[in-house]
Amino acid sequence: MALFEIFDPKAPPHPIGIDLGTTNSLVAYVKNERPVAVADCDLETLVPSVVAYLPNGDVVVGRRAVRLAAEHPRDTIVSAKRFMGRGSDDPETRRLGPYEFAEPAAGEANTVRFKVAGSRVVTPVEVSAEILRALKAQAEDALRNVGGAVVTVPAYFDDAQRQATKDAARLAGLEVLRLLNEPTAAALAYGLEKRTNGTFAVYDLGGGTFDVTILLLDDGVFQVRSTGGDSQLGGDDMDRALARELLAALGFDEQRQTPQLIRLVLDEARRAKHALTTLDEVEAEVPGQKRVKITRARFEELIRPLLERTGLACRRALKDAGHKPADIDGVILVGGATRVPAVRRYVAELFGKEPLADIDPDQVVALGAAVQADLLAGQGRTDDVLLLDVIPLSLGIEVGGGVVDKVLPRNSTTPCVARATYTTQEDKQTGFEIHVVQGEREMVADNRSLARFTLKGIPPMPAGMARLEVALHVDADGLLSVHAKELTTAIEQTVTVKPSYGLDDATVEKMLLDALDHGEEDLAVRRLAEGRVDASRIVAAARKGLQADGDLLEAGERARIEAACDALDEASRGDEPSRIRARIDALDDATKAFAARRMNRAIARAIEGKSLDRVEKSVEHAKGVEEAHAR
Amino acid sequence: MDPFATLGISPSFDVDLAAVEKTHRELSRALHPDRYLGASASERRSALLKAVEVNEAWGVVRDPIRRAESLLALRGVAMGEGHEPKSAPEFLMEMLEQREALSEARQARDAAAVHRMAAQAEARSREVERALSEGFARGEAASPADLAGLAGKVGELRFYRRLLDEVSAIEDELAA
Amino acid sequence: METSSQTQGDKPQAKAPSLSVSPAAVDAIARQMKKRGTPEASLRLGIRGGGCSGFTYVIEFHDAPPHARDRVLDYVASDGAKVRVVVDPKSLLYLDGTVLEWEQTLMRHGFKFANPNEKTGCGCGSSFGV
Repeated sequence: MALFEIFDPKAPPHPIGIDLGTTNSLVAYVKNERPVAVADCDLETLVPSVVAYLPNGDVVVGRRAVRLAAEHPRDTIVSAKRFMGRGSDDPETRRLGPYEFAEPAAGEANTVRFKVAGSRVVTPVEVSAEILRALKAQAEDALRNVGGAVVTVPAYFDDAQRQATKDAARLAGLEVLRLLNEPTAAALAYGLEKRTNGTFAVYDLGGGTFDVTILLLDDGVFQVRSTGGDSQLGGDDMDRALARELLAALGFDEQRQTPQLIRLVLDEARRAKHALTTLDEVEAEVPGQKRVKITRARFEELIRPLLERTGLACRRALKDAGHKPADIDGVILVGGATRVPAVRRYVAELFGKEPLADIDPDQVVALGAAVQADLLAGQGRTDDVLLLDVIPLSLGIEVGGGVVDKVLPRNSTTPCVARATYTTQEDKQTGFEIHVVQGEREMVADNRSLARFTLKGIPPMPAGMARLEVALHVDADGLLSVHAKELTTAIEQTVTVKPSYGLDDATVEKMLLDALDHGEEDLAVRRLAEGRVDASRIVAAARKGLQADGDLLEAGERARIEAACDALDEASRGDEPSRIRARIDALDDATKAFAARRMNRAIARAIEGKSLDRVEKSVEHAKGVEEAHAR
Repeated sequence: MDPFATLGISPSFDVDLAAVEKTHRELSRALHPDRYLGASASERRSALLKAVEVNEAWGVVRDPIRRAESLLALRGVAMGEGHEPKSAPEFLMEMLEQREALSEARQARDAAAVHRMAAQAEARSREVERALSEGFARGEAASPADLAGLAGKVGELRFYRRLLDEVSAIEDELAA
Repeated sequence: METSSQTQGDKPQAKAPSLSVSPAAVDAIARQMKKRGTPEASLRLGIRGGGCSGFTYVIEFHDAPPHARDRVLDYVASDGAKVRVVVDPKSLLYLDGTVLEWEQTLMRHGFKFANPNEKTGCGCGSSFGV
């Protein structure tokens, strides 16, 4: 019998952490300073990342959808995360499952779209949004009032994939506090509970992605030193390797393989893989077929090439961080596939030490995300923990001859901006094509194209006279925007480009309206709720500032700020979003000068702290010199 | 922008990277956008601009090439793509030969040769870095000709960097 | 607004659907109201759609005056504090005869709905069907 606590409608909403995984997803929150995963009615925390679209229009998510997969293989989307941010013409796309794809119409963005339940067309973003919506509902059942969410992504996700993830979360009606790299989340879960400093490797072998991250933990600052991995490698590949073996053993050649059969064999392969974690030998049994014996040794042989691919990425990440395996103080295991004993052995061999695995490798990412959500929502110890992320791949711009000009080198700390200036090649050229690519190679063709657009309307000038400044901005979530302007003309032009596969704000808004039963009405309710959440955060921050740095206030300033806080408090008790927004702006105005003074103080302290250290050191050094002389 | 000033150190090629990294972390702790989620829009904006500046400064200072370019820029020498001084003919020759050797090793899938080239290029870039360190240590005494010489060294360093990037891409290719 | 004034342990008025709150639960409510700094607030009980079995219980602070059709139950805690419990009429149909109890052990504490109308429960026990 469950016990209830009194729910307080005036209490701030619970921030949540979500691990949107390839195979499984889950949601967690912080309860009494400890992260816990939210369980459903059957006490299960993992929600399979599977969405089934039924002919009657119903959408089913999770374990029920898994049961429908064998019967409706084309209408049940498994591992949708693998398709996030992918083009439909990408050769990988076709390899990834038994799905039917809708061809993009002329002029339409080249995004993967699944054809399901007859005529329905859905994108991976929409499929992911269904999973996130189910997680949100599960959290609401447990917590009622759910606040902002931290959603995790593989560290290796590129910009388009991050954008797609954020779009899915917004589509599910979640306020995204931050996108967080999965391995960083895992380290957060471990670091906070164990209070360890050092250099760590996070080895994350999930269902569909492999990531390795080298992290430095020092005085509460988690810094990603380097990331590497393979977004096309995971436990699913183990299942596939085993399934190929089964199909061959059962005598099926490629012509006789139907989607239903492949699905059944894959399911059996997965069961066999799980069983081989503890057993030395299992018998796989595909319904209606003879039994096939598989030994653990054979399974380990089959997956050896996959493990070696992870080893290559690990060595590369170590090299990027300037470390040798021996420098690593600990290895954190993440992802269900790290339960496979051969994986643990391989990791121990690679790094020369037993990996850490005390937190459930399926939950650790969501638990870390919950900790981060709690911190960001201002309920945790904000002053103790900070994550510094880096961009995983260099960003560059195509210059003459198909060569890449690297503008932002990989492993730059975010948020960051880089500018580069170019000029026109021809007389009277009025358009300038800007092509942004991601990757380490010299030639454009060897890298991934992220965004391509033309800056138009440049006044005709002789070649080489125009000065075009292109700025690449990457925010703390790792999302890119590109701005371009011509510097010599009085007219400044700025173009912001959304990455090729993301959705623009208008599209998301429209999809949201379509998804909601009472579109406009619900949107107004959401705006009010969001306004109130923002207002309470901003007022709290302002009051905290008054308390912390009161000595920086000028005459009359405190009274002005306090009045603005009270006015905003009053507005958020009302129900007009526009009035709340106006008073947020007014408080913003009132605190502007004070905030600038506070920031300067914080900067001065940060630099001073370190220069003091150095002064002390040089004094010590000088003392040593004197003593040496005295001798 | 003077990245050295942003990080509270005096401009020099020889920097204590560990100490600067600590300063960068402290500054990030004060300025990172995560700290300002509850702050007003204008405060968030100005913190973001500062955080970007600090990250940019750290990116410059920790990278020998960008650090050298920045030191030269502070002394009035224009740097960056398109401003490199003409390389010495013998260096150009060496560049072409190395490129050719690398592409041959790639064709032949000769991983050992690729590793050898990487080791050579790494040793050469360390030499160039030492030369830069000595050159910049001469400080104010450096003549415009000295500075032009240093700018040339930066060009060499950039070449080795590109070569090493290509080598590691080819290593991945050969290992796959 | 229907009001039925009761002291602890009194039977509700005959026939009309009602629920009751155990003395220990009344004391627990009073403590939590005090801790929250709102001794004047009411406690709202009810049901809402949700959970795996169709319905789940509502137990929350209610700061405004009772709604027009709410059933209002007034209690007095053992320290003399006044405790007001409100229930909307629709929920009351499903909660008829329910006793709100307070359970406190070394391991856990919280409120419990002892509801004779509950037909199906679920694993987690926070959802039910009627």
